[in-house]
Amino acid sequence: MAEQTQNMLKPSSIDELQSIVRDASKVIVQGREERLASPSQKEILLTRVSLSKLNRILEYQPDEYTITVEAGAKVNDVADALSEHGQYLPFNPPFADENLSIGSIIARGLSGPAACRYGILRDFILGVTLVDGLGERIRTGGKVVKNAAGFDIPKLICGTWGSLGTMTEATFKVFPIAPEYRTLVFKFSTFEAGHSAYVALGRSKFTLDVLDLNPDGHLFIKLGGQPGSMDNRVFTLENELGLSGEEPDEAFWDATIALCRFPEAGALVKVATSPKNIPALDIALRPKGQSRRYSINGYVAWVHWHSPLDELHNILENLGLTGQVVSGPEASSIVGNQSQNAFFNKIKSAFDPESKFPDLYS
Amino acid sequence: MSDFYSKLRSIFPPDRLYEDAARVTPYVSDGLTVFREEPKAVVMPISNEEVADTLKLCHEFEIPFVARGSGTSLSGGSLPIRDGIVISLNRLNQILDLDPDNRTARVQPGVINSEISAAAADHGLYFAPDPSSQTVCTIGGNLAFNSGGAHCLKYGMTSNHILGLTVALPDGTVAELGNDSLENAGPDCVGLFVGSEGLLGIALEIQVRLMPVPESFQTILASYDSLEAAGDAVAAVVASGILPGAMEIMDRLAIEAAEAAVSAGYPEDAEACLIVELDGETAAVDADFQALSTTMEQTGAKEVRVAQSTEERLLIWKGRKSAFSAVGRLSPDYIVQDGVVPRSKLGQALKDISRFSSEAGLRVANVFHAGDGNLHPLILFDATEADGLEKAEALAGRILRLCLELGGSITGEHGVGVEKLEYMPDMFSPTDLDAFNRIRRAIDPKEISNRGKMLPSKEAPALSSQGPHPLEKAGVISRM
Ligand SMILES: Cc1cc2nc3c(=O)[nH]c(=O)nc-3n(C[C@H](O)[C@H](O)[C@H](O)COP(=O)(O)OP(=O)(O)OC[C@H]3O[C@@H](n4cnc5c(N)ncnc54)[C@H](O)[C@@H]3O)c2cc1C
Ligand SMILES: Cc1cc2nc3c(=O)[nH]c(=O)nc-3n(C[C@H](O)[C@H](O)[C@H](O)COP(=O)(O)OP(=O)(O)OC[C@H]3O[C@@H](n4cnc5c(N)ncnc54)[C@H](O)[C@@H]3O)c2cc1C
Repeated sequence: MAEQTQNMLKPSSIDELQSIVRDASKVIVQGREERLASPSQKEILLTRVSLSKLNRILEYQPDEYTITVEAGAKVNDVADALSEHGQYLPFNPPFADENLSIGSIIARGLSGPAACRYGILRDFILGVTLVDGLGERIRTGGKVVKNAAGFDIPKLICGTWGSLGTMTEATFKVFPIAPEYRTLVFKFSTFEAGHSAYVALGRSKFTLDVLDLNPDGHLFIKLGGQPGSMDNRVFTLENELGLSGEEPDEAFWDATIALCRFPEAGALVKVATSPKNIPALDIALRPKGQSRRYSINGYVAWVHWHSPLDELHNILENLGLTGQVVSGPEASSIVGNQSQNAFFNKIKSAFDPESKFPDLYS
Repeated sequence: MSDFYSKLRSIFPPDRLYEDAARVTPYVSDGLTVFREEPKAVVMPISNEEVADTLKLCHEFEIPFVARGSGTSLSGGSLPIRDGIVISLNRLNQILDLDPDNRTARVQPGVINSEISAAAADHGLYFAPDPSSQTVCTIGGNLAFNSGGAHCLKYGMTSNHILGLTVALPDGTVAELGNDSLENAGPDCVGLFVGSEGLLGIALEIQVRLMPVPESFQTILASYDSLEAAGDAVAAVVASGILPGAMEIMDRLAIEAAEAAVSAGYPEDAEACLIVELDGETAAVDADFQALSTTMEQTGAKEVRVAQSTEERLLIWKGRKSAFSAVGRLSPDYIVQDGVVPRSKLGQALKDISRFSSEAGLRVANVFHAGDGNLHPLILFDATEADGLEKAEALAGRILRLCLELGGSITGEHGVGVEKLEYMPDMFSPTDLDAFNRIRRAIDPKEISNRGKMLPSKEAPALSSQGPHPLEKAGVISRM
C-alpha cells in the first residue's frame, strides 16, 4: 500500500503506482505536494499522487553522456550530480527556484535560455517509462544516445502536463560544461535595432549559449569555451555588433522576466515563435504593457499576462502562433492556434482510454 | 475491388498510375534487396490533394499503402505491401520556401536531402542531418526513419531538425502538426510523427530547421594498433570535456577497401583509424583543437594526422563515406546492421562481433559512428551458397541481440522496417508493443498505412537474395 498524507498518495514503487492508477477514476500527479490546498467538493473524486518517493538517480556514467533518473527526482539534484562530473542538461531547465521535479519539467515542456546552444528538452530526452491510463507500465525510447526503434514517445510526452500518463523514469543525453563562460548585455537604443542584431546573430557564425532579447532592445548573450579563446571571441562579437558588451546589472534583471521562479500573480505563457515573428508579436503585446522576453535564439517568447487569457488567445490566433500557460491557475492551457488538437486527442485516447488523467485540449 | 482501381484512375492519369508488371517492377524492393513484393499499383501524386484523395480511397476500400521516397531504406521500410499500392512521392519535390532569417525551409517530401543544403548554402546555412545516402534519399524517407549521419552526437538526428508538418493521416484527413518554431507549445506531435516509419500517414510538407555553416573545421585522422585502442581514444576525448562534431572509426578491412577505392591516404598498416572533427567559431575551434591534441597525444596513436586544407578534410571524409561500398566490392553480397551500444561497451561489442564472425565463418567489416556507439557491422556473404544468406542473417541477429544485452538498441538510424521486426520483442515488452499498437490504431484503425512494418504482426515477407542496391552497383551511393 502506498503511503498517504492528507489527500495524497505516495507510491514508493512502480507497482504501487500501477495499482493506484488501476483503482482510481481520476488521477492527478503532483510533483510539489506542499502546494496542496484542501480539496474542493469537485475534487473529492480526484486521486492525487506524489512521486516524491521515486526520486533516485538510477544510472549515471559520465563517459556515456547519459543519465537515467526517477521522475520524482528534483531537477536541481540531478543538475548537481551532473556538475560534479563537469556535465549539464543542455536544455537548461529553467525555474530553478521552484525546485521542480524531472517529471514536472518534462510534463510542462520547459527549456531555458541556454537551450540556444544545442537544443531544447525534446532534443535531449532519450527514454521515458510511464504508467498509462490502463495502469500499464510502458518503457519507450532507449538509454543510448541514438535509437530509432519504435514510436518516439519521449518526445511526444514533452508538454503534455500529465495527460497521457504518469512518468516514472526518464533518460537524458547530457553534455560537458564549457570550462569558461562570459555573460554580456548589449544595449541597443531601440527595439528595432536590437531585433535586427538579434536576427543577424542568430544566423551568424557565432556559437552562443544564450541569445535573448528584451522589448527595450537589449541583447543578453552568454558564450562558453576554452579559457584561452574567450577574450578573442568577445572582441569579435563586439566588433560585429559595433557595441561594447556590459555586465548585466540589477536594472537589467528587473526589466526582464526572471526565468528562475514563476511570477506570484498572473499567467506566465510560453509562446512558440520565430525570429522574424517577434516584431509583430511585440507590437501586438505592447498596448497591454505586460512583460515579455524573447529567448532561445528567437524561437520562444515568454509573456507575463495579467488580463483575461482569451485576449492573449485572440492575439496569438491572429498571428498564427501558439502558446501554453506554464504557471498560474490556468497552467497547461493552450492558447492561440490549436491545429494539433484532434490529432493529439486521438493519441490521448490510446494512452488513456478511460480518461483518468486530465485533458489537455478541451 | 475493381471499384477501387477505377476510382484511382479518376484521380491519376495513366502516366502517373502504373498497374502493369513492367512498370511496377522497379518498385518491388528498396535498399534491402533481399525482400521483394509486387504492388498492385504505383501512383505518383503531384499535389497534396491527390495524396489525400488516394488515402481516402485506400481507407474506404481498406487497401494498404506504402509511401516511397527514393527507396534507399536498408530495413525494408519502403517494401511494397501485398495487395497494396505504392505512393511514390518523387514528384512532390519542391522547396516551397526558404527563410534565412528564421533559419527554416518548407519543403515537399520528395526533396532530396542534399538539395536543401545546396539551396541554403547561399545564405550560409545548411540542413544538418547527413546520411551517407544524402545525395539520393528524400526528406520524407529521412523523416519516417529519423535518419542519422556522422554528426548526430552534437547535432542530433533528423527529428531534431523537423519543426512542423502538414500530414495526410491514413483516412485522408490533413492535419497541421508543430509550427515554424524550434520550441513547442503543447505536446510534441511532430516528434511522434518523425520516426514513425510511415505508420501514421504521409508527410506532405515539412518545415525544417537550418543551421549556420560552421566557420571552421579541424579534422584529425589517427591510426591505432587495435580497434580497442581506437575505442579507448574515443572515451578519452569524451572524458576531456570536448564535444566534437563527429567521431568515426574504421577497421582494417574497411581501411584497406576504402584506400583501394578512393586513395584517401589512410595508413594501410593500421588496425583501426579514428576520425575526430571539431567545428564551430574559429577561435573556439582553435582552442578546442589545442586541448584535443593534448588528449590525442596520450592515446597511444601510431600516427596523428591533421587535415591541412579543405581538400584534405574532404578526402578523409570521402574515404569514410565510400568505405561501405568499397568493402561491398570485396564480396558478391552483404548486409549491414546498425545496432547501438553504450559507448563504454564499444570495445566489448567489437571483440564479440569478431568472435561471432569467426564462428560463423563470415567476414565482417566495421565502420561506425563511435561517438554515438552506433555500430555498422557489414556482413559479407555469398548468396550463391545454399545457406549463405541464412548464415549472414543469423550472424546479424546475434549481433543485434548482443547490442540489446549490452544495454543498447537494435537500430540507431536505419529503422525497424521489416528486417528487424523479429527483434522488436527482444527490445520491447508485450505491454510496450501493445501501447505502440494502440497508438497506431488510434490514428489508423484499419492498419493500412505501411502495414506489416515496424510493429510485429503475423504477416512476414519471404526472404530472397538480390545483391546490392542498383544505385550502389552504379557507385552513386554507399552504405554507412
Ligand atoms: C490539465 C490539468 C487539470 C487540472 N485539473 C484540476 C482540477 O480539476 N482541480 C484542481 O484542484 N486542480 C487541478 N489541476 C491543478 C493540479 O492539481 C496542481 O495543482 C497543478 O498541477 C500544480 O501543481 P504543481 O505546481 O505541484 O505541479 P507539478 O507537480 O510541477 O506538475 C506540473 C504538471 O506536470 C505534471 N507532472 C508532474 N510530474 C509528472 C509525472 N511524473 N508524470 C506525468 N506528469 C507529471 C503534473 O500532472 C502537472 O500537470 C489541474 C492541472 C492540470 C495540469
Ligand atoms: C548506400 C546507402 C547508404 C545509407 N546511409 C545511411 C546513413 O548514413 N544514415 C542513415 O540513417 N540511413 C542511411 N541509409 C538508409 C536510407 O538512405 C535512409 O533510411 C533514408 O532516409 C531513406 O530515404 P528514402 O527517400 O530512400 O526513403 P524510402 O526508402 O523510399 O522510404 C523509407 C521509409 O520512409 C517512408 N516514407 C517515405 N516518404 C514518406 C513520407 N513523405 N511520409 C511518410 N513516410 C514516408 C517509407 O514508407 C519507408 O517506410 C543508407 C541507404 C543506402 C542504400
